[in-house]
Amino acid sequence: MKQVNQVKSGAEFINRRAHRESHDRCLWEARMRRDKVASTIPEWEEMRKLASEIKQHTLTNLDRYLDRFIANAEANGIHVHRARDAKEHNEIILDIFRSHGVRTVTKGKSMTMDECGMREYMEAHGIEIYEADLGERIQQLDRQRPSHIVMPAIHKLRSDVAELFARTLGSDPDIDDPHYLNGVMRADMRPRYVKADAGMTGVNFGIAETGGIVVCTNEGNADISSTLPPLYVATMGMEKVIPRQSDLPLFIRLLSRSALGLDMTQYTSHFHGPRPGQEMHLIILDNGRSERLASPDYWQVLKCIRCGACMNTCPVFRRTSGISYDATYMGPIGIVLEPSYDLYKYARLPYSCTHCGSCGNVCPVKVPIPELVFYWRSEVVKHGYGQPSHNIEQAMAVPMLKSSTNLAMAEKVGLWALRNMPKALTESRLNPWAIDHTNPEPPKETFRQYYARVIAPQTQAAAATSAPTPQEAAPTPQAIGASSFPLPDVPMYPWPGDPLAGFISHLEGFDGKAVKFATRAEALRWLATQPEMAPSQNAVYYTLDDVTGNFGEKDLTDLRNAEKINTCVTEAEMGVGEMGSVWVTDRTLRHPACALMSRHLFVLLDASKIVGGLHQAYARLSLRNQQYGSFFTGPSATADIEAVHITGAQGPLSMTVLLYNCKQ
Amino acid sequence: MKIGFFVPCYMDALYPQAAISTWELLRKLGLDVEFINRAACCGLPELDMGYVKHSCTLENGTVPFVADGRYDYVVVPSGICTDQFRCHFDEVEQTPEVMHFRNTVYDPVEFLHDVLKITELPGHPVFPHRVAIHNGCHSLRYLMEARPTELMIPSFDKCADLLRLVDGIEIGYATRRDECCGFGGIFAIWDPSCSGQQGRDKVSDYARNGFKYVTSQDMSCMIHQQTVARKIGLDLKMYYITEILNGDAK
Repeated sequence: MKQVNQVKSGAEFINRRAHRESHDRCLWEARMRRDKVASTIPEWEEMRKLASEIKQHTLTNLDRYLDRFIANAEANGIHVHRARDAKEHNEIILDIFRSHGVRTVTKGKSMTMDECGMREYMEAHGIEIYEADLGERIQQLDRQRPSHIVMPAIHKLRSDVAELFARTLGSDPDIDDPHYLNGVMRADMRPRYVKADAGMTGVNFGIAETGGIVVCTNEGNADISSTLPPLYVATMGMEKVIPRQSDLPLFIRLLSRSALGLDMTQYTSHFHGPRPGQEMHLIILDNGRSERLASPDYWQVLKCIRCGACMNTCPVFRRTSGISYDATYMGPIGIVLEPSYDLYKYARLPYSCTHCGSCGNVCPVKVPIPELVFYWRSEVVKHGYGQPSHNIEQAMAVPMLKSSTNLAMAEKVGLWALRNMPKALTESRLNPWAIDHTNPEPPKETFRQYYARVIAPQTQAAAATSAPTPQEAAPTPQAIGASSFPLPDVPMYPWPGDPLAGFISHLEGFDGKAVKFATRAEALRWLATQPEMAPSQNAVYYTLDDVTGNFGEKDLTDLRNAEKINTCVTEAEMGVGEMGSVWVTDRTLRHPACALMSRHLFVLLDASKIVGGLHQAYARLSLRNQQYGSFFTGPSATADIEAVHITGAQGPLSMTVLLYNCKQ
Repeated sequence: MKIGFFVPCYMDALYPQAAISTWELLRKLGLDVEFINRAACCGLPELDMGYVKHSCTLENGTVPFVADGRYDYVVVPSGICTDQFRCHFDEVEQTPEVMHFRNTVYDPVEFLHDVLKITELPGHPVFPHRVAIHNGCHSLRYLMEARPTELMIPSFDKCADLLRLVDGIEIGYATRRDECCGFGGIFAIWDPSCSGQQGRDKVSDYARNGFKYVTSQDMSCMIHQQTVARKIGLDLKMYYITEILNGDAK
C-alpha cells in the first residue's frame, strides 16, 4: 500500500496560486471571525476548560454514559444499533434500507459516514445517495472527498463549481455567481427531498440524560432529510455522548463560533424520537474508537467535536488544502487521528506541521494536538516507518551534535563549504533549502571562536557586582496525566445586555427580519397585509388558531405535499438574545417538515419569552418531551462556495419574527 | 548569582552575533555569566522528528554541562531550545539537578523581563526605526512570552515591553501578527514548498506594512525569513532582539 504524500499533493495546490490565495483568505477570515466573536465572551477560556473536562469525564466513563444514552434513546422510540467497524455500519444500514425498499436517500453531512465509505458502499448496492449539503454535493459530483470538515468544497473556486455544475447539472457554464450556483443546487435538490425514501444525517451530540441527538447545520438540508421522509437514519461516533442537557449550551456556544465565527448554526436541532409515521434508526459507531480510548497516549483525540477550527488556523492546511491529506480527516486533527487508523499509510502526515501550536489554542475542547504530533512522530520512527532519508540524516547528526568538540568541527566544515564552495553548488536544486531561500551569510567566526578570542581572556577581569535579585518563581514543566476526571458543574453564564435588543440585532446578523408590535392582534393585522400571505398566489400553511391560511392538515395526508408550501406561519416558544434564535418544536410546528420546506417562514414570538443567554434557554427546556425541537436562527444559509455568504440555501429563503407584547 | 550561558548550535554557526549581543548585555547588567562551552545540542532536532533515542543521546551529552548544579539560571538565546529544555527534556534521568535546570532555564526575553525585571537598558541604546516584532511560535505559544491571538486573555508582549526601553524605536506588527513563518526546523527541508510559501507570505506582509526592520526572540525564524526575503529581493533586515537591546543593531 502506498503512503499518503501530503507534501507532494500540497505543493501542487500551492502552485495553483488563485486557488491557494482564495483558500487561505477564506479560512483566515473564518479564524478572524472566530477571534472576534470569542473575544466578546468573557468566559471563553473557562468554557474551553470546562468543555475539555466534561469530555474527559465522559470518555473515561463512556460505557456508563453510552448505556444510559441507549436506554433513554430506545425509550424515546429510536432503534439503536451498535457497529464495531465501518463494514458492520454499512451492512446494518443496507439491511434497514432493504427491508424498507429504499432506493433513494437524501443525506446531510456526516464525517462519520464518510469515515465508513458509506455512500460508495450504498451506491455499489444500487441505492442512490444524494448529498444535500452544498459543499458535500459539489464534492460528490466531482468524485472527490471533502477538503474540510465544515466547508467541504472550500478549496474550489466558483469557476470550478460553475464548470462542474454545467457538466453534471446542466447549468449555464458562463455564470459563476455563487448565488446562481446555490440556486442550481436548490432547484436540483428540492424535488429529491420529496422523492427520497429515507433521510440520513450525522450527529453532533448525543445526550445521555435525555436519549436524544443534536444536529447542527446551516443549510436546512439535514433537517429536511430527517423530518420529511418516512425513514430517518443517523450515525453517531460513540465519543459524541455528553452526560447532561445542561452540558449542551456550553458546547453549542463553542461549536459554531469556533468553526465559522458565527454565534450559532442556523439549525440547532434536537431529535428525541421519530416523527409520527416515521421510523428512526441510530447507528453508534466504534470503528477503532475503543482502541483509541484504551491508549494512554492519544485517547484525548476523542474529545474532538469536529468544528474545523484547527484547520482554519493551520498555516500548512490553509496553503495546501484538505485534499492534499488524502484522508477522511484532514489538517491538524487529521494528522493526529489518521495514524491511529493506519500508521504505515499515514506515517508522513504527522510531519505536515511546523509546531506553531495555534491549533491547540483554538481547539474548543483542548485536544492537545501539538503534543500528539510529537507522539505520532515518535511512533512512526519506533515502528520503522520513518523515511529512509530521515533515518540516515538523523543518525548521522547524532555524533555531530552530541559533543561540543564534534559540533565545533562540523561547524568549521559547514562554514568552510558555505564560504568557499561555488553558489552553483550550494544553492543548487540538490539543496532543498535553496529553492525558496538564499543560503545564510556565513559569519566571520562562530560564537565559540569569538569567545575564545575575545571573551575568555577578559573573563577574570570582570567581577560580578550587585546583580539584581530574581523575584519570580519559574514555571515548572507541565505535569502530564491525571488519574481521575470529575464531572464539573456548568455555571449558568449570564448573557449581558438587553435580551430583546440582542435578539433583534443577532437575528438581523443572520439575515432574519424582526418586527416589533405592541400586541398580538397588531402583529396579526400586519401579517395579513404581507404579499406572502395572499392566498391567491401562495400556499399558506399555519399552525395557529388565530391565523388562517389555505393549506392545512387535509392537504397533508401525504407529508410530501409540504413541497407546495410557500408560506408558513407558526409560533415560537422562546427566543434567545445571545444568538437571535427562536425555539420551535413539533408541538408548535405540528409538522416540522412544513416549516423547513416553506419558502417564507413567519414566526410569532411573545417578546417577554426572550431570555438572555443560551444557558438560561436550555434551563427552561424539557428536551425529552419533544420529538423535534430546534433553535432556528435566521433563514437557511450557506457559505460553501468561496465562503460567500448566501441566504436561502435548501430551507426557507426568508424568516420574519413578529415580536408582540413589545413595550413601545 | 551565577548564570550559565548556553549557545544553540545553529546560532553558534550561522548567527553568532545574537549570542554575542546577549552575552554582552548580560555582562553589562553586572551578572556573573559563564559560557557553557562544552554543551552541544539540546536534542530538539532529533525529538522534533520523532527520533527519541537519538534525542536521548544528545540530551545525555548536554546534561553534565547545563545541569551540574552550579548555575542559578541558564540563559538560552533561543525560544525553541528553551522550550525543548523546559517542556520536553524528558529522555534524561530527572535528577534534582536536571529538575532545577529545567525550572531555571530562560530565554533572554523572559530572563530580562520576568527574572531581572529590568526597567532600563545599560548604555541607553538607540534604534530610531519602525520595527516589526515577530514572536516566534515556541516563545509565543509554549513559553507564553506574549498573548497568542487565539487566546482570549489580557494582552501582553514581553518583547514589546523590552523594546520600549530602547530610545527612538517604533514597534509594530505584521497584519497576521502571529501566524507561523514556516521555518519549523526540519520542516523547512521536509516541505520546502509550504515552508517557502509561508515565508514569502510573512515577509510580504512586513513589506506591505512598510517595515524595513524585523526583530524576534527566535533567530531561527529570523534566518529563515531573512533568506526568503533576500531570495525574492525584499529590502528587510532581521535582528535578534538583544542586538537591538544591546545597541548593536545599526
